[in-house]
Amino acid sequence: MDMRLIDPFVNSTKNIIEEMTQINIDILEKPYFEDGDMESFGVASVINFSGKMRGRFLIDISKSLSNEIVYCMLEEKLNLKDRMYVAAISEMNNTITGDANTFLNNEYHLGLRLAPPIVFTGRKVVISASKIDSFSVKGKTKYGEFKLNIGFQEELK
Amino acid sequence: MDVNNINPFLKAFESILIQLGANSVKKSSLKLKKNMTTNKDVTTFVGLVGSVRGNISYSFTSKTAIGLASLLMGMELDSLDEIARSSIAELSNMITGNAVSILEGKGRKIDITTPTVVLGEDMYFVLGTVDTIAVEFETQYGIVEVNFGLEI
Repeated sequence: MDMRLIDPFVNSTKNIIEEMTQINIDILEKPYFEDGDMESFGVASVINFSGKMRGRFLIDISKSLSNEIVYCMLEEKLNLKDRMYVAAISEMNNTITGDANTFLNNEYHLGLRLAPPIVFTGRKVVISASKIDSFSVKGKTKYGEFKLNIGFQEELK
Repeated sequence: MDVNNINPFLKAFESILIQLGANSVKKSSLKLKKNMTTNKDVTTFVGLVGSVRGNISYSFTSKTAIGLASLLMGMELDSLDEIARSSIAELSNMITGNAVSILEGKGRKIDITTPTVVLGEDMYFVLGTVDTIAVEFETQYGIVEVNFGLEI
């Protein structure tokens, strides 16, 4: 898959989390092809989008980092199953994906529109690689690690 | 959430499964949920964008998922391997796609997104900013829980 489709998500994630929470983000490595199941770190959020291409953005965050992000956004310690906790993670993902898609739409005229964010958690969660090719990028902060996974069904023309 | 947007999905669920050869598909319950928790270990999601925006999820136990994947493949599968997961994703895609065609026939313009399959225990999901309507279907392979988080 074309790195021109991956980089905007990585850049938006770093910029938006740092801006919203003041937590410093280190992107650990270059994007790598995801060819198996992904074991969740703790809290995951997916946004699907569709336009001239179809795709998906997943951000998977360790519980300790997720707790800190929510605390920074809402200045309140909340439980993972609290509606506001989930709303904060949803909103963060919506802002990241919206920002990356705006860039892609302006740059490549893809007309991408977002479905609402899905947030999920559980025990032994595995996100199964679906039929789309996807690339992952790992990152870390002093509160824990996270992973991004970006998949598109078609190639950029 | 407008019930006129939900009915096509319920019809599509029944008709696709019956077309594939399931011999009993019946709605067994409908409830409004603030949050979606499920004790079923396999869930697929499909997103909708356009004049109906939201997410739909289909949750099954592994056993039900393997049964439905076998039905779609026309062969007996015995584990939730890549083929079975991909079949379950495809089944969600077919049901959602069929419902979207019914809605498009009523003048709506909707795109569907690629399905995502998630496995796990004691799963807790939030499908969007709205309350979720959950409908359960009884099939010969077990119960399928369909959750709707549609914004209009």
